[in-house]
Amino acid sequence: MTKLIHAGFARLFKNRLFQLELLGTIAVSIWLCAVNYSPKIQASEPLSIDQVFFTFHQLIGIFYAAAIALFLGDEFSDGTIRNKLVVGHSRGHIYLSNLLIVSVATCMVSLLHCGTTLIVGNLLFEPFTISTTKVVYAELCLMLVACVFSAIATAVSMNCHNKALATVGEILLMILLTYMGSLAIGRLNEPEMIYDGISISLDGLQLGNLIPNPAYVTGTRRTLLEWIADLLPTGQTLQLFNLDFTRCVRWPFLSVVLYGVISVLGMFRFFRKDIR
Amino acid sequence: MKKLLSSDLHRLFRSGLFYLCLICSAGFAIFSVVMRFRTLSANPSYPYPTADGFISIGILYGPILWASFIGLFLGTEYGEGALRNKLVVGHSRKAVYLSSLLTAIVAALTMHLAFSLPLFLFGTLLLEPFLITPVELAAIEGLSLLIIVASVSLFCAITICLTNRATGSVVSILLAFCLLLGSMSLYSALEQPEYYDAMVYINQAGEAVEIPAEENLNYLRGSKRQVYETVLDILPSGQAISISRAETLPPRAGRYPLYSLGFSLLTTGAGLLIFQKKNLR
Repeated sequence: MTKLIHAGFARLFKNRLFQLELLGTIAVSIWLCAVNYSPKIQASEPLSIDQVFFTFHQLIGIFYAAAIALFLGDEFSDGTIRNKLVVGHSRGHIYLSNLLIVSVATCMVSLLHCGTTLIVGNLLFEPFTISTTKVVYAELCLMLVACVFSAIATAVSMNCHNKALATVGEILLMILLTYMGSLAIGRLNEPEMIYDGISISLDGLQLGNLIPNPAYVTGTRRTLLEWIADLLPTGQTLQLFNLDFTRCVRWPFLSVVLYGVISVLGMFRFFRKDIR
Repeated sequence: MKKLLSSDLHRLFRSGLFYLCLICSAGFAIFSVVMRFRTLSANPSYPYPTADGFISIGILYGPILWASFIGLFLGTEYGEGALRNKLVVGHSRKAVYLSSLLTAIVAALTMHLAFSLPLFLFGTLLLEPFLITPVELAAIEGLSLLIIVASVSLFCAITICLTNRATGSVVSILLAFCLLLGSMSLYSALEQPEYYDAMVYINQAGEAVEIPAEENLNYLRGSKRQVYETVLDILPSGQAISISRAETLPPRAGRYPLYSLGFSLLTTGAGLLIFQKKNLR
């Protein structure tokens, strides 16, 4: 297994796509700071760094999926997996070494974004409004989220020998997860009470009576929706973007569970796969 | 060319992936209507009781599906050597390219139909009657047709010019996604109000506090605004977002057909030029 990991990392660091992804991460992190910065606005209503820090992670799953699918897809298309099996490595070791390599790669991307944004963001924006402990905790959660994305992409890539199909499937799956995450958070963020009407007259803005919001989810459905939003990696990133740390204690636990379950399922299927 | 087109269409209508995409398109339309129906059942005073807002959703998010399909469907031509075989039996590169492009356009149009027909059927059955007039609908569908042609031309150019099927698919999908996000940013930048309205509110002490009208620092002015508008109007995703947000014809819709045709010709021309010189293994 050590040899597999060693060879995998050597391939990763020589991989053009990975090098491009690292450069892209630095470029996008700087660009996100630059587009949100305006000297005029900074003088009147200064933005703090936390308003840009979590933007990067909203759609990153899609890019992780594309990169992982292309990287691991080569294992099938170039016959590397078959060769690894022929020289005596077990399927479990092959799967785990690939999972470890892509998990480390995605964590590196997450850390690189964190470092770049901290450097550039500190120069342009006001300091964090949340505590340093929360920032460190959030980065830890984001790294676990990156690992979950890696586990999903590895499970698909290692079980689909058609590289193009796996790539497209993974990207569409990540888009679907992003949509599901935003749908769940959108429902949870509905206000409990709403005004039954708003009118503007000469006396100013007239608000109607406060009534219960029919779209507000309550009871068991709310609890279930909260668990779904916390379980989904895209739900966690969206909550961090909204700086909502209400249920943040369970995020690392849920990410680890999801990482384990997906990896076990992926490995189970990979053990039975006919490798040509 | 006739034979090529006939065989490509034959392959299209036998493709399982194509039917999966049709099911996804129809499913998305039905899901949108059912979700709106559930919202209206829970809250009858919901301000959008019709399905008008969904009419242009198909051309807004459709490119991601079209890009995925085109990447896989046309990419197979390379993977299985079908492209080389077509050239060996005497077809010109131009004919091969145009036949693939036309097939992809037919596929995207069918997917658009698979979205629109269930939307109108379920929208009429479950929600209040559509407010859009037949003339507006015809104009939007006409513009949608040109947006489909423009988007498909771009994805075809990428897929046919990139030999690797997986890379072609990834580049097409990510490009479709980035164009959508980029157009959304351009649109929101252009939609900023020039001034924030004056407001009067009652504070906690019960006194009326007046906030005068204030200039919006984010409002785009002069040549920068014109550049943003032109880029938004040229991009198929930009046109799609303008139509979907307006829910009818947007103010600069008159230039859209010309921009779409220009975009299609440019991408097809560039794609053909690269394909003519490409070394096909």
